[in-house]
Amino acid sequence: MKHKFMYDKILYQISAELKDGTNVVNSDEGQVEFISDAVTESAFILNLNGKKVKAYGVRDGDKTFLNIFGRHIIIDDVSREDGQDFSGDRGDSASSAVAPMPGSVLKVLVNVGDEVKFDQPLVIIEAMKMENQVRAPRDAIVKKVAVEEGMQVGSGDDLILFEI
Amino acid sequence: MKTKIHKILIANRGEIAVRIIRACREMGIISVAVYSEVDKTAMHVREADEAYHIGEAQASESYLRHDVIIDTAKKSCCDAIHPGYGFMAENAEFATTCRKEGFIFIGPSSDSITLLGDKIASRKMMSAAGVPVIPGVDDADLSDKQLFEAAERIGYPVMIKAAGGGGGKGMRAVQSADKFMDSIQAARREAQSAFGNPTVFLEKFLVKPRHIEFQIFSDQHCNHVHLFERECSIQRRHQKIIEECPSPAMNEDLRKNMGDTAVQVAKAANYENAGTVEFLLDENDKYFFLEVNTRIQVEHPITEEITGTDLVIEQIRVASGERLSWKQDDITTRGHAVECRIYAEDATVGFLPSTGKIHRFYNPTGLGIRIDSGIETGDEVSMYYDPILAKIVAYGKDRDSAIQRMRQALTDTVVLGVTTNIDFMKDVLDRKEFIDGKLHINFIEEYMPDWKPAELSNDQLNVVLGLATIAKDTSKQTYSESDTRGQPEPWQVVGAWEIGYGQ
Repeated sequence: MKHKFMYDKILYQISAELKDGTNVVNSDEGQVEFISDAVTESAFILNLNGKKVKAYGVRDGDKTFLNIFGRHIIIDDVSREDGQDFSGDRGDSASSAVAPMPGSVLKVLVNVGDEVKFDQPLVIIEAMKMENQVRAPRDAIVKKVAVEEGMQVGSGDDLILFEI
Repeated sequence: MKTKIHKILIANRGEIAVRIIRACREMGIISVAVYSEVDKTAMHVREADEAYHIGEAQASESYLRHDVIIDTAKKSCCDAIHPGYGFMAENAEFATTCRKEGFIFIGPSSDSITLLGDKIASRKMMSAAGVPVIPGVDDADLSDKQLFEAAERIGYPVMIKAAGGGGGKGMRAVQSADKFMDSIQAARREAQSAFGNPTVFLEKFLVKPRHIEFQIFSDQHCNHVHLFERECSIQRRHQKIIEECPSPAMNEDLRKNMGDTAVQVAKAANYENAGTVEFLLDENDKYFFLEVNTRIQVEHPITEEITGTDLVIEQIRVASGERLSWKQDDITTRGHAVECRIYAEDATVGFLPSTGKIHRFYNPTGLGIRIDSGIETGDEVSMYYDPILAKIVAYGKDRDSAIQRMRQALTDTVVLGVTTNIDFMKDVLDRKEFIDGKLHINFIEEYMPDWKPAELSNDQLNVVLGLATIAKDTSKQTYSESDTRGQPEPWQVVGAWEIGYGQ
């Protein structure tokens, strides 16, 4: 079965199948095979070329939370959003500045029509009593201010929209 | 006057509330938890003997509501209130109200809290008492313009600090004059929102100092002791994440001098109960008084580990009028302890808090390992409160063995569902500067400014991606599977129920 995953902002397309009890994973990075024994729903023992590897993993919607190779890893399943341009909301072509976390809007520093420079602070969000600046992802002109001071915002919400 | 305490209301949440509940249980004292809307099933609510709803999720509508908390204490027939740390722990008005309403407030007198909570007044008083303070400007009512002029006199870099409290809130280092005005406004806003007081003051910014603090303890009979130092130089956003004791920077003379100064501070402030005297120590072993935290400290467990004490039980004893359990000479240390604070935050994006459901939490365990936790599998981490999840404390016969145990403990700690700083802290422990004990408060900014986890090999990456196709979606389960604790805990199978209401 084919999957599209995002890990550390990079898109990976893989195919994974179970052949005679062995998981076979193919991607641009090559092929690996491993045997997985589920200890519980979220704990696994993998056999990787004869080497035992302990792993933990649970899935919540599109996100998979893993602990393996001595570290925590979060994988985003983007298979559903087939064909979408993932860089659409970042960098040079960003159409908006979004909230990096849930919090309340403490201050809006720009107005509609303002020309903003890359990295210029646009909005100050307060979360857990700390102030966090949301900065411009590129040089742009402010098309719309989607929030006002005192408003609660969620992670990923549009704060400031830019002229394209 | 001795008053036996029978029932304590804990005006807090999270790991510290759980810690206090455990101390109550050991002493045969009934514990009463309070909770906001989103904490209905939180760990401190589960652990306490009784629990009462006190309001909405926002702390200002629940954990900061003096009136509701006092009413709850009356209704539940408590005789004492423990504030923990944060929230109302250093609120003199709350301490006064508690006492006026006939409750024992487990902490210092309101006068001490007021004096030491005012960072400007305490700085002045300590300076007058001969305690060394950082050069700076500490007039309370200076305008932004006057402060700007003062900064020019002191010379950049300068540090802006809130008069109303610590913990990194309202604190800004300013490198040059052009950044000064923006910084001071941000600091005032943060100070206003955190402490309800926009007053700030200036200090000379020390280059690469260590944060060394002394645990102090005083009873109502004018006995004052210290329980040696903790080094808390590993900080991000001016907040500690890794602490240890003894400090690798200490020698016996310095320890004696700083310990004497800490006791001198306790005497000067007519202190009572547990407190912490914070110092900065510069590269020439010169130390400066920073502030006194008038509460139990997050990192108190490491002191307990090396001194063989229980500071929370001592707090309760002393608050009930008993004499300190120890004289200065009775207090000795053995071995070394390190604490790592597990925060729900993302070290790759400026330590931004992360929220979500803890789908799995596996504790480390083993010789010399202690966990003070406020969460278990199934709990939610909300945006409303400090994102500390748990503290891991490792004890060893010396610094190397304590660090080695901590490294293993962090490796054994698994938190699935939110991003945490666990992997980041492991990399801190592995840095040569840390191993060599060359710590200072800008350690993380200097050595690990753009931290990223080490890259996975191609094979590892494929295994990870393959595993992502196998992992099951268990998020919709109403109670967690049995693998974390043997069998489902009662609250997980019971579901929503009313706790401790009425009576």
